Amino acid sequence: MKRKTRLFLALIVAAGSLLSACAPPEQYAKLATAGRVYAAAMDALLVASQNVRIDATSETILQGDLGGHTSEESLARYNDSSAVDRERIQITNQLRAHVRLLDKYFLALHDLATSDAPERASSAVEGLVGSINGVGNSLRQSSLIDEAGRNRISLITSLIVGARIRGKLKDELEKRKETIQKELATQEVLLDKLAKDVEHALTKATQARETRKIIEPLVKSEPVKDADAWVKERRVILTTQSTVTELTKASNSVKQLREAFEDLTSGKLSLERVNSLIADFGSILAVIESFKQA
Amino acid sequence: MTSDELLNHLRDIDLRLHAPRVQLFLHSLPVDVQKRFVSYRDEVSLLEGKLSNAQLEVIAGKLAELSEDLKAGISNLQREIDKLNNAIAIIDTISSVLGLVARVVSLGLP
Repeated sequence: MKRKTRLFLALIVAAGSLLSACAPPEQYAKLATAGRVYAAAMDALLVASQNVRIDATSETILQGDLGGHTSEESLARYNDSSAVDRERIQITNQLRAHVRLLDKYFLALHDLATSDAPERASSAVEGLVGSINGVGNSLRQSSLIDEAGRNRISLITSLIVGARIRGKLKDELEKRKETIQKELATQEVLLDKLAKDVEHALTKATQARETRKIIEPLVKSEPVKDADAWVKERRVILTTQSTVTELTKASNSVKQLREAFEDLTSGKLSLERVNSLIADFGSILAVIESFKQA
Repeated sequence: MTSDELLNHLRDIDLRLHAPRVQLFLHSLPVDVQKRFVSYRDEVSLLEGKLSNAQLEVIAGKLAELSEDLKAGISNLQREIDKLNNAIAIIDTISSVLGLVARVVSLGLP
């Protein structure tokens, strides 16, 4: 009996040392969630920046349409501008496909980190012990494994499966460390370029709308036709730009996500930091949604 | 001049050429001057758009290089989830078989 207890304790110590060598699955799950929120924000930004670009081009086409061009010249202007927009749509689609892949990776990481396999394995083993005892009872009218033994086996199974999951998560991130670092460093650059791109396209589109819908009707000799609509439109146009400045802060959040992955593999990550990252990416998504409406 | 600096410069010019004051002034010019101005202005806008696209295309290329490794990671994680599910399924199967054995044995014994 003493030998059994020693063996049980040794197993617990072994499982414990395995567990302490890896970060808890909750940290992997939280970081995977941060990654998924980031992927959603980036996807929304890619769509929004593409649409803002197309709108800016449309405004440019209209601004040059002053009545002096022949129909061939107007068509040529239209085709030249649309070719650049079509190229942009193609690049956006490529980038979105990659972002979806990144999201899929974080989802798989999250699924493994939040797997209920330890609990399911534990109850499966309890069922197995019950069946073994059933055979024992049939053969010699006594259980082969007593209640205490059954509880120990169940606990050890849960610990071993949990440790295996932690070990696999750690292995995966160590194997993929360089790729994730490169991925997030490139995403940081992408976000910075997109923020500047959106800022320019939105400024240009807004400036053109302000000219077309607000200034030109105002400077005409006759009074503005629908004053209420003019007032409302003017407010929308003037407040659009302020949301874009928030985006320029966003690339810093990706840098923090990259650092968080480094901290996770070296065991220095805190859940508070990941929670703050999730909140940051949530705010970026909200900013993108707000200017998508504009 | 870096591509970023060139792009910033082009964007700055592009915005100035489309400013409300310029647009209003344009209406007052003769048609041939208007057309020439619009043509040069369009050229700046197109260059800005092409350079922006080129920058994003370079990034898309860099990200595409990482796609295979990300796919390998997804397969690796999925395989582990499947392995765990299979192991549990095997334990459940053994348990069911043993349950049957127990019933057969109890039926066979007096």
